[in-house]
Amino acid sequence: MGLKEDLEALTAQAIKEIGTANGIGAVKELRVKYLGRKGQLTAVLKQMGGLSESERPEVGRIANESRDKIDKALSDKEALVGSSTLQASIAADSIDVSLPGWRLRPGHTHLITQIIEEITDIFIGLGYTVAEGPEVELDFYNFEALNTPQDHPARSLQDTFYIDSKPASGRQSEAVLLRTHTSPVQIRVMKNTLPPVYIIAPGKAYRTDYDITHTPMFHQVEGLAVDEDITFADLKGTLEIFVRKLFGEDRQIRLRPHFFPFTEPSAEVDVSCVLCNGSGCRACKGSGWLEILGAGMVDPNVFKHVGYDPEKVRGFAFGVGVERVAMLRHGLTDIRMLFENDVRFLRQF
Amino acid sequence: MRLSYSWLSEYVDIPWDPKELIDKLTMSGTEIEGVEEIGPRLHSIVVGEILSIEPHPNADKLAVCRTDVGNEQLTIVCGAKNMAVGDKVPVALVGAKLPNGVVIKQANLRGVDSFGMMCSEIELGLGDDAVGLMILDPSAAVGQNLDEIMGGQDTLIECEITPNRADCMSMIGLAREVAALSSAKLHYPDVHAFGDGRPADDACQVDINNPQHCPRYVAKVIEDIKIGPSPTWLKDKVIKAGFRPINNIVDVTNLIAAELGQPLHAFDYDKVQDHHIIVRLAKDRETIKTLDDVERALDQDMLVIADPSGPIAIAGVMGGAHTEVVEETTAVLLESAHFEPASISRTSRRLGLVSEASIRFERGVDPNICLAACDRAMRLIQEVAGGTVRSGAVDVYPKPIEPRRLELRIERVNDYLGTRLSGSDMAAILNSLELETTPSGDTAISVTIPTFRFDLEREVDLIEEIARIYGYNEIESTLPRSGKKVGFRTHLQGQVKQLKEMLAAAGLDEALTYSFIDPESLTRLGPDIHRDGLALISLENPISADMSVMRPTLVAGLLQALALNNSRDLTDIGLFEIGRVFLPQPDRLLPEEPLKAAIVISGKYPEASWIDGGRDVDFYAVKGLVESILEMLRPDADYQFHSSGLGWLHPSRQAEVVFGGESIGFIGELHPELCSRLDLRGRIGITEFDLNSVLTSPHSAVAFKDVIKHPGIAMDMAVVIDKEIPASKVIDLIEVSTRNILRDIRVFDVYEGEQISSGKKSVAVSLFLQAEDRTLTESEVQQERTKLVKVLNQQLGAEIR
Repeated sequence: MGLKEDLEALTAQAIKEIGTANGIGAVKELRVKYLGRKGQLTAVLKQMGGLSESERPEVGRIANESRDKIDKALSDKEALVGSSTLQASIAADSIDVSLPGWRLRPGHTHLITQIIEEITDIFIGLGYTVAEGPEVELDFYNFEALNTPQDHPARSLQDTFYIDSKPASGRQSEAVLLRTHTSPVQIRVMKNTLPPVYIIAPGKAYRTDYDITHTPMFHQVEGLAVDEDITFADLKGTLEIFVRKLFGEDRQIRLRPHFFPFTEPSAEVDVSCVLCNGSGCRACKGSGWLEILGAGMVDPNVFKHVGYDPEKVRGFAFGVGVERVAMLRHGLTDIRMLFENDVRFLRQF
Repeated sequence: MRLSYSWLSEYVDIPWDPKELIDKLTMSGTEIEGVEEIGPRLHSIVVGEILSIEPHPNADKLAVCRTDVGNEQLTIVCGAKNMAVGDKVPVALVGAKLPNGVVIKQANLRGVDSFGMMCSEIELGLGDDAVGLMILDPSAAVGQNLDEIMGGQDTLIECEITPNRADCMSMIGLAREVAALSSAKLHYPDVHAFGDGRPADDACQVDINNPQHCPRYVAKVIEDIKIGPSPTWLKDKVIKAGFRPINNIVDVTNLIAAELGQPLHAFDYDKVQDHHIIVRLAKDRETIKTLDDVERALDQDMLVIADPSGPIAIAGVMGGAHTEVVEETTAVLLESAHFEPASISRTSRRLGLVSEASIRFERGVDPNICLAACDRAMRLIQEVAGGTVRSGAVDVYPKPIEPRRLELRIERVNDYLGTRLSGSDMAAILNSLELETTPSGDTAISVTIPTFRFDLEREVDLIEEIARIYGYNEIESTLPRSGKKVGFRTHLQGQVKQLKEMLAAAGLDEALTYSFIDPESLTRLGPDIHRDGLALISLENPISADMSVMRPTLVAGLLQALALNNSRDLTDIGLFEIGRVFLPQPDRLLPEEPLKAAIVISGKYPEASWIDGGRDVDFYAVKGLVESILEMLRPDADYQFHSSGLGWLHPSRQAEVVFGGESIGFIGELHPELCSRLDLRGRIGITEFDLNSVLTSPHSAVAFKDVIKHPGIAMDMAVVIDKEIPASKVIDLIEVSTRNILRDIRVFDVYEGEQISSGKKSVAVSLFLQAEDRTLTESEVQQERTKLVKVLNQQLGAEIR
């Protein structure tokens, strides 16, 4: 029998053994047995020295083919055995995916914060900056500069919380109170800035009401635009964008004439009822409309108080009650819950 | 202001039904507060004439009446006493349903069959007189349905009149609004003067001592009148206007107030001494007994109507009892005056006395309606009470108030409103409101304002009138055209928003608590809760004692919120609040309002799950939150925690937060004693710190440092030290010693127990060492370790385990 035949027999034997080998260890042993330095193929090749010059290339070629065949058979078997081990370990990893993850229960910002930020973002988009002012205010900023006369009923103890209603100076404008609206921020900003002014002022305000639709502390967002060419039509357009962003693009709005000391003309603004869509229900008392904010053109007297010339600038202002938005948009029935801080309430929004 | 639809129709041809009217009024600035449909509710109630009255055979208090109701005569048993044979009374027939729901049945009353019921005002819902039967006008037709004579079906509309529109506090004022909105014609009531030829001047004298408070006083006298109940039509109107019928004279004055807006007052002419009216300020210690039988003390700021003997009325507020019109009165001096609003308002407030007259005078009344109102009243009084009227009137009006003239610039109107109205469009609107216009050059309109529209003082007031009648909703919608506006949050506002979102993401819920708190809630926490020596800011008029001082800290409110949740069996609670606190500033009118952040957590944080049981809240829970916050808000800044001694916190589980070298707040666990006193469960982690100092300015841009590419080496050490030595000392020391190559250091275990001697603890730290310029060798790291062991031993007496 020649060397060539030996190689063929060896290859066939190796492939047979690889085929029946079991486990990664057995495959490794076979690799050593056939292809190792002291392996059988190597042993056969060592005999090549005894061949003639003419036989040598032919046998060399066959020897290389044999090595490649065995190596491939071993690699294939290794991959096969490796993958089934992995499969087994994967199978052992089986879990119940319906169980909850390693989660941190997300907390919630307050509904009032969410609404304020939403309104703020709408107006930032329209080019307004965010202004703030003190919650404990002077009569001057809360009433006098806003054209609210001395004997106006809003100034009474029945509506306004006072810290010091009779200042030592005797000047009523120095009476100290909790601001009854966010409008004094208008005055503070205008006194410190030259026009144009485009601001919104979100914040707390205080009045002495306490029932299911009124809390003694509440939140407002005040808006003010002062420029050379502001018109009532601009106020309408601005409010339409605002109300639709807040309540939905399909909402209608309407403006009704009203009276505020600090605006002229003044308007109350209604949005078509979010519950009945205008056909009339209990929420809107059958009218199809919900009152949502007060607005108007800045009264010339207000401009005089802050040193603006009403012949040179005009402006509009508006104020929206955040709790009212919460009631109308989220269906709250008793707004006192907003400040009770029961987590079952807080976590709903 | 209560508006009757049918009554309003007497002054203007309303082209709308009540629903449309309500809509038009709403959209022109008269808010509607309520609507009441009345009638036909007096079905089967008819006019009856009493033919005979016999005593009841079995009951002293009852009478048996024979009553003609037109098509038949009925026997009716009646308990009233005020009727006489021949009186016309309302009779509810068998089957009638009274407004109070009672259905009339045939009944046997103590042996006598009764076929119906004769009714009082209160039973018919027409008044509150329950004492006797309602006696109808003798002219009422027997058998006529009561509905027809009482005005029948009507809609009563409750209008909210804004403070500037005093002119709408009357039927005629609202009729003017309807006329302006609809172009319908107005019908003024008959206000022509009349008299018997004898001059009024002979009958009375009027002197005004304080014309600034009383610019005008009109007096007229009517004699030989008969006081009695008003006829049904008058009662009906007075009731619809919201008054209570009293007698024919008072009812007429109330009718005029409702119709023309001018409050009148009727004095018993014979009781006014010398028939001499003096309008003056009250004298010190003067008193007057008013119509409501209350003796009232006056002061020198109050305007009174006096006769030579003393005050007979508080001007514009309420009449005196002595000169009241009573049944015996035969002559009346009627006052129709104009008073200055501020004076009436002051007097009304100071006396705590509000009347229909004071409400109208406070808002303001047309000074030029006095005489017309007086003449109209005289005509009606004569109609319902007879008598003769003196000719003319005593009219003291030293400085007549003239209609105002205003210039209206056409371009200004359009600039203001964003409209393109022509001058003639504007004039047409103003004319519809009874404002006279004449062109003033090509660009302006000269407008004459009737004195009943005293609210129109400036050009801008006219612009509002034009917008209002033109219709706000007819104006187009545009946006401001300026290209110069840029919207943004300030740095602080942006950071606060980010902080809230971060705390929520960390599993906390945002609370909002009241800015005013119970001072007791601070007392319970002890003196350390707010800055030493600072007084609290109190409200003069709080809602209640538990909302009476401005909070100097957010803690009290948050603990209250926590207690509320605990009381409702909600135990795993993490709440935060970001808001202002209020601290007095010496020598300043307004307090300081620093912005604070506070957190309370209790129960498990994070919550228990099937993976692990969660962790019980303690000091480290809240400390970790504060560390994360500071790291997020100011990655560049330096902060430490120093032990502290606040009385209301756990003595050994609290620390002061020091940021940039400044104390900005505290962290800790609530004192266990307080927990039990406040009914709070388990350990409560709590912190409050100042945000202004953390967020004041944007921190400078972080300068880029290259990422080190040489490999580093991790090294763990367990350092055994005395229990009392803070772990931070170990870390500080390691940081100082290995400064150049230390990239990270963290504590991964702290141990006390059997494995080490008592009084000691083991702090295991994990270091990561890495040099910027080379690969560290094993021997270098070993050297570093040896050095550290030596330093730790020398400085802290530490052993390495």
